[in-house]
Amino acid sequence: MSAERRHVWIFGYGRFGRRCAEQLQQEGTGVTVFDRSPDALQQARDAGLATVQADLTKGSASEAVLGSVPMASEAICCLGSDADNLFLLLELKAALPLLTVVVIIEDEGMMEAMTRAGADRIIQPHRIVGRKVAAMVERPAAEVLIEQILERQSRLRLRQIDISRGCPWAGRRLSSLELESRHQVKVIGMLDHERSSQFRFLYHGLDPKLDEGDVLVVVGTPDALDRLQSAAFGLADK
Amino acid sequence: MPRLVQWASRLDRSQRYRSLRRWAERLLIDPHSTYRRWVDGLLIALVLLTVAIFIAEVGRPLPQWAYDLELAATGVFVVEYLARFWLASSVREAILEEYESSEFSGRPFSSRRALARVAREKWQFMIHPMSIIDLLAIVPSYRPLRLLRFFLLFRLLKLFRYVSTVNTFARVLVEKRFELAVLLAFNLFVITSGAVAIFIFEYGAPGSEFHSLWDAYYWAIVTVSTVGYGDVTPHTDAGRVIAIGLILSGIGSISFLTSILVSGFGQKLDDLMTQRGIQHIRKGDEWIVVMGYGRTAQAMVRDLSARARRRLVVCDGNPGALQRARAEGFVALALDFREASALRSALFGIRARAILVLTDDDVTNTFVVLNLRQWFAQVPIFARLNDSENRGKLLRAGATRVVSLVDAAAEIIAEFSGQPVAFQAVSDLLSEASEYELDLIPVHEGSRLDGLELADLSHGSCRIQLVGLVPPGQGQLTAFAEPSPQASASLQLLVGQPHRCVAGEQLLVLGRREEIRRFKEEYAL
Repeated sequence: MSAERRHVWIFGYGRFGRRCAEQLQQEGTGVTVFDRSPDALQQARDAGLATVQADLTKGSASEAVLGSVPMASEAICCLGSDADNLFLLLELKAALPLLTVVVIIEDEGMMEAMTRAGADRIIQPHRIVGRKVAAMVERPAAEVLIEQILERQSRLRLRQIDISRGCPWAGRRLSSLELESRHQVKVIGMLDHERSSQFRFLYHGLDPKLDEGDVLVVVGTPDALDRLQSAAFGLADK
Repeated sequence: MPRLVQWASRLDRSQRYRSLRRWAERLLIDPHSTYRRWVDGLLIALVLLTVAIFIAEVGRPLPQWAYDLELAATGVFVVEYLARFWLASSVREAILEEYESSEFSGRPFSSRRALARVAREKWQFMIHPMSIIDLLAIVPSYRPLRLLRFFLLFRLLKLFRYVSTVNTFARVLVEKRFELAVLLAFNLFVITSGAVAIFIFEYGAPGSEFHSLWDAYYWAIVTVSTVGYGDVTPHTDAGRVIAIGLILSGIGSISFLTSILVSGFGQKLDDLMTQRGIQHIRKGDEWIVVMGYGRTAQAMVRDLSARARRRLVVCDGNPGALQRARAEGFVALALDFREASALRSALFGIRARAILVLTDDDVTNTFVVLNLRQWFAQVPIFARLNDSENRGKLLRAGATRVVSLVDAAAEIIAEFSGQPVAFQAVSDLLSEASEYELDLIPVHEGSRLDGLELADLSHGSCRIQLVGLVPPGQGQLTAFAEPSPQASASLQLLVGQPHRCVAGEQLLVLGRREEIRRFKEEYAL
């Protein structure tokens, strides 16, 4: 992860916006909240967040508004309706093509439209909850474990490790590095540019070669993951 | 104490009399009794049999046994009528209540007042349409009244009593009485004006077939119904213009009538399907009850196995949602969640494996959880939480687990939005399209996994990954409770350390659904 302080814009301070801001604040990420309602903004300020009163779905002066606040690497669209979010997404992508935009959608049918409109990540809360509930009914124990890996307070976390320029692992096979036993982590999948541009899960017997630009997805305790991260940067790898 | 009251109180104390009455009620009235279904079936058979005899009798004599059968059936109908007459109101209760109230208010007991009340109640029974039909089904059997034989067909109307779908038809007619009355009035107007007009124009014209106003009415009705026998036809131009007008208005009112009935049934359909659904779920067990078929529920059912989908019961108050659920083949009940009595009459007493409360309103969810918890003490109830502040309320209401829509999304965003590839991994695990899943595989005693050294595990040809293991006795603890912070401590990652499997352990594996299934078949059974 970059040493630079991460900054995120949140559009819409409703129930989703509030929880996202809370979560991001906890880990020290800078947050700016955009909303049109003064009441919502007052609540955001009470929670210690920077706020901007603006309604970007009206499609006027977006660039001026966005230029006046600290630049963010990501924007989260959680306005009240899918249509508003779609409009906001298009507006943001037109003004700042490089901004990573995360969209929350209500209706699964909007998935394709949002993808075509350029959304970088799409979250479907109903899908997530539906999946969890289905798992609770049919595979209760497995569901609990999935939840524990995904939950932020849990002992085990899921994290991505980038093989960046200068990484000592580049050019070597995954098994030869013995990452799992040395760092007590589990590599569950990777983005292997040599084979595909898509992320895929690994399975037993697969031994990919790591190259610059590849990304590993790893499960482990936060400490173990931190040590693995330093090792990937070529630091303190004993 | 007056004699009448003495008699009534003796009857009231008699255990035999009371149980006889209860038995008769179960046979004839109680909608939930299984005896009643048999009695209804028997009576339906008798009705059909006697009507068949009635038809067969036309034009030829029947053997004696057919008449005996007819007599026996009539006997049954008489007994049924008398029994219903008896059950319609309680004489002894009326007398005793009258006696008590006269004692209470200090006025003398009036047997006339008590008997008048009884008579009023019995009379109300007798003039009820159903009772009149019952009576009409009996009277024509009296041989000397040959003229009344035709009324034997009224026995068919008795079926209304026994078949609930026929009842629904009658209810639709009653509910749509205003529209039907309007249509009837309109038709009477059209027919009368058409008949009078054709009579004026055609009567006395050369070759006219209209000899009286009766002919004119007959013709108008045959024409307006679009039947048009053609035995009476207009010969003048004016008469034909009237005929055209009648035909056009006839087509209009027939389609109007059809649309009234169709819309009436459309509205009743939900009720009918709900009634049938309630009867259906009384029988089986292991039901998975879903309260609220919104987006969450629709996303959820796609992740259920075919087996679980067959046990699904969907409840919702919204007709659109019910239609979607029925299109998927689920049992769907129309229920107003805010009415505890409706919930109770639909779900009380069924055998459920899990209850999922998934509406988009926390107040409704809490109310439903609270109510269902009293009737389903042991069944896990999973509730969707819409606003994080209400978590405690839902748990106190009795939800086994609460899943928050907002938290689930917010956590994933906050944790993974800066890690696109990890986010992809998570979305793959959360989406059914990717086919990847995490599953927990128990190590059974005597299976191939039992006692196996993991390093020796060849995996066969199964493309899965062993992620971790849960030591014996740990997995079940976590199954149906809110996860505690310590719970995940039980999961150990498998990072290449030597390990020999023992029975009772569970392996956490990751892979395509299909591959996991094959691995289970090969090793875990």
